[in-house]
Amino acid sequence: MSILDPTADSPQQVRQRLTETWSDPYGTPGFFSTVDHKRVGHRYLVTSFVFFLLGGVEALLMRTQLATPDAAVLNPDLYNRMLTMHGTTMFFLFLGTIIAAWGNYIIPLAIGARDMAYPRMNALSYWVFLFAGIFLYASFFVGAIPDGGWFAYVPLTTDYSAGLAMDFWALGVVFVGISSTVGAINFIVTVFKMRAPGMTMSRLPLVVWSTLTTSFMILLSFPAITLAPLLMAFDRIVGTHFFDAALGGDPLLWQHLFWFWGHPIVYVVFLPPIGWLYMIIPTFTGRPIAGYNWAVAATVATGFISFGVWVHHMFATGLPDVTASFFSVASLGVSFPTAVAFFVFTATLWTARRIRWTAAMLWAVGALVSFVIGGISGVMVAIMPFDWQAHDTYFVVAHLHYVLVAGNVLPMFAAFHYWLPKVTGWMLDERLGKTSFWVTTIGLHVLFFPQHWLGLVGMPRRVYTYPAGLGWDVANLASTVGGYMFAAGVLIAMGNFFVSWRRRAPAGSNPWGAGTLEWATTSPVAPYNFAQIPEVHDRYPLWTLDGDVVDDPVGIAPQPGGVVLADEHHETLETVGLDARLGGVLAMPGPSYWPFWTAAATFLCFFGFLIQNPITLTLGLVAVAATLIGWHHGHLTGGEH
Amino acid sequence: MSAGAIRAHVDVPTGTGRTTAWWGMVMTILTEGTLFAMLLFVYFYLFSRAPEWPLGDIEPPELLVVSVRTALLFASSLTMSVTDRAIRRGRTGLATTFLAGTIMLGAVFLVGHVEEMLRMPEEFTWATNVYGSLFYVVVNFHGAHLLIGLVMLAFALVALRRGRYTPERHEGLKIVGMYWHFVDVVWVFVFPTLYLLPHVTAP
Repeated sequence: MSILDPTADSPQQVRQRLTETWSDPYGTPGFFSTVDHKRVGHRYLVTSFVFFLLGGVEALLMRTQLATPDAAVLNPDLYNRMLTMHGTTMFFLFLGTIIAAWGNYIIPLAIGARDMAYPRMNALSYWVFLFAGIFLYASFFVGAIPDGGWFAYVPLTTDYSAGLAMDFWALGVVFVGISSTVGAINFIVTVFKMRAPGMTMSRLPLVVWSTLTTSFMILLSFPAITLAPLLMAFDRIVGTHFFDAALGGDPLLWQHLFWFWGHPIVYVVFLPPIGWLYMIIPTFTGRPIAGYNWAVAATVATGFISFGVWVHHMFATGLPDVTASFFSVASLGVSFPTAVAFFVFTATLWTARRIRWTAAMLWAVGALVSFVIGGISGVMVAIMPFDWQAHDTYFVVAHLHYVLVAGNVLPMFAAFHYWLPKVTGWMLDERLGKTSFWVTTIGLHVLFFPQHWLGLVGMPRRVYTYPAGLGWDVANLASTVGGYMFAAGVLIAMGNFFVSWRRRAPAGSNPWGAGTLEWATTSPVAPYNFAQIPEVHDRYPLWTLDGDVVDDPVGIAPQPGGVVLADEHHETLETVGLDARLGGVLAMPGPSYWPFWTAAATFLCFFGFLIQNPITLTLGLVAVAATLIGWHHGHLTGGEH
Repeated sequence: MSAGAIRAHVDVPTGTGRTTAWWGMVMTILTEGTLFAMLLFVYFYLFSRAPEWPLGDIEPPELLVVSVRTALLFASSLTMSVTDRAIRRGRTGLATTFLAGTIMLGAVFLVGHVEEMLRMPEEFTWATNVYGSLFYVVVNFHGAHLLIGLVMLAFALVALRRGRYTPERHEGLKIVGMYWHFVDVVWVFVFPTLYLLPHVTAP
């Protein structure tokens, strides 16, 4: 099918024009006004990683304090604050945003689109995330670091936390939730409307399926993490009584709302990384994923069941047995689709023609193997009598960290090693990549495995120290040593990045011989992604039926008869229906400052609420309204929408 | 840059399927609807644990004025539907009249809301007990969404008067209408919960 005829011009001329149309303005104006999904993706990557390092430093401080009995590295108050910020940073500013980072960068490329469905909303979601992160970390500079735990249980966080500390937490969490919601809507519409012609839902790359599923989960679970901290902020600042048992409120309400978000979020941060592995493992085994339909079914089923498990965080709160039993069964049930996903991986590896053990592949398989431990301890704590014993002990800490580190952090490094050549245009060093893998992964197990044992012998979580002679000393020391080893592995991986940056070994468009569309364009990706929007007939369009790489991948050179788009506006194709029929040409908005200003105005609102200054709050609201009107002014004047 | 150097040489289908704007509004309504569902869950959860409802010595809310306001709000959904039909038939004048009518009805509802917010604190405030907290927070959540809806409708009215909508192209008006219907549907749940339920359960 051809929409536009490039025969009038040479491919070089076409690319030249497309580059002029899609490039951002040079320098500072471009920096603040860009709406390019790739630049937004870069920013998400860098910013999330910075928060990962901050959260890691907080964790190391805690681990250092716990290395020996009766240590005095952190005082109890500071320990609480580090505990709170470690959990808050990792959950809200890293785990959830690193998936947005790769989602932003990879998804439009993997579905053969030129941008996200709402480019300006995309920029907004990044700026809001950045401002929310700054808001939360501003608490360090005014000496009001949140201290009520990242789970923020009331009344610890209402009656017993004075000053602004938990106000920073509550409002910061609401703030960052806006970013996730905006991003989720964008991903859903992008997947439904922007797929290349012929990319039916059954040809969708699995990373897109997992991001689509998690986006729906975000839309249905994030309202709880908007509502709960907002009600907490009202209780703390305005004087309502939602969580105040003396005047009709209920502290348990907090746990219901928090965990209604808090449990699905575990799958939200775990499913997209599983999606990355679904992309990486077929590439290095040289065969399509085994059981594609099973993988899709497992992804969607995990999404559904994850909403029926939140009460398993509350087995020890004295709920009726019937209620608890239901949630116990649901929590056991969620392990079935996860097991299916693992069988899919196993089958793919089993039937491989030849496994190439690159650094990316090592990280991916290491993640799978490590995750199994977290999965098994999850089945254990889903069983109520066991949970009553293990609840609030280090066993739960071990389980939680196995699931999250093996389910998100290790896949993140796998994704770095796999996709960075596409992002940067140069290869990472394989030897350093493998070294960092072994150091990090062995560190992970030395760090968290002893914590199972610590929990079983009764060490409670969230304590800042412990006396000698309880039999906890050796395991704690080992755990701390593992923590430093893990950190060393992360530093080696970062060193790899900088060394490879200096070396700049060219990557070429498809260094791994992968089969999906993001490898069909240049590395680094041109501003317009694809000169020619590819037409898709297969799950692995760059592979022949025998699994060999197609010599001349689609999309790089515009060819007569190919689907090429005009060069006047940001134009891309719109497709219709689940089978992605050609729907029309969409004119996308170009660079805009409004997303930045809207996010800044939102910051002003939250700041006004924080300092309880009605004038600032009102100014902020007026500013938000003004920026949104400016944003949509084009609707009225007939400009681009 | 030479405009049109590379142009379509076959017809590109247009107007098939749902637009990105439509999908975006549906998803926004999905997540906002979940937010209201959770807010009402909070209401019923706390209600189910309370010894009496309303808590304390609070009287159940007055019904007369709010019933009239409710009728006006539901009428505004009807006028919005008429607006939508009119623009599809190309009757811009009729659409303008009914859209203005929708805004009027919504604005009267909102004025009533503000009047209630100024009057009610004489009886109880959000700080009286959790019944008061729920009443003010739920009602104002809805009020805030209504205000946003009104601003969107006002935008659509200006665009309509500038001739931006045609029978073939009126996506903006349609999705603003969807949001407005959503705000009305939320009231279908909020009104019985906040205003009727306390009358049923009052001792």
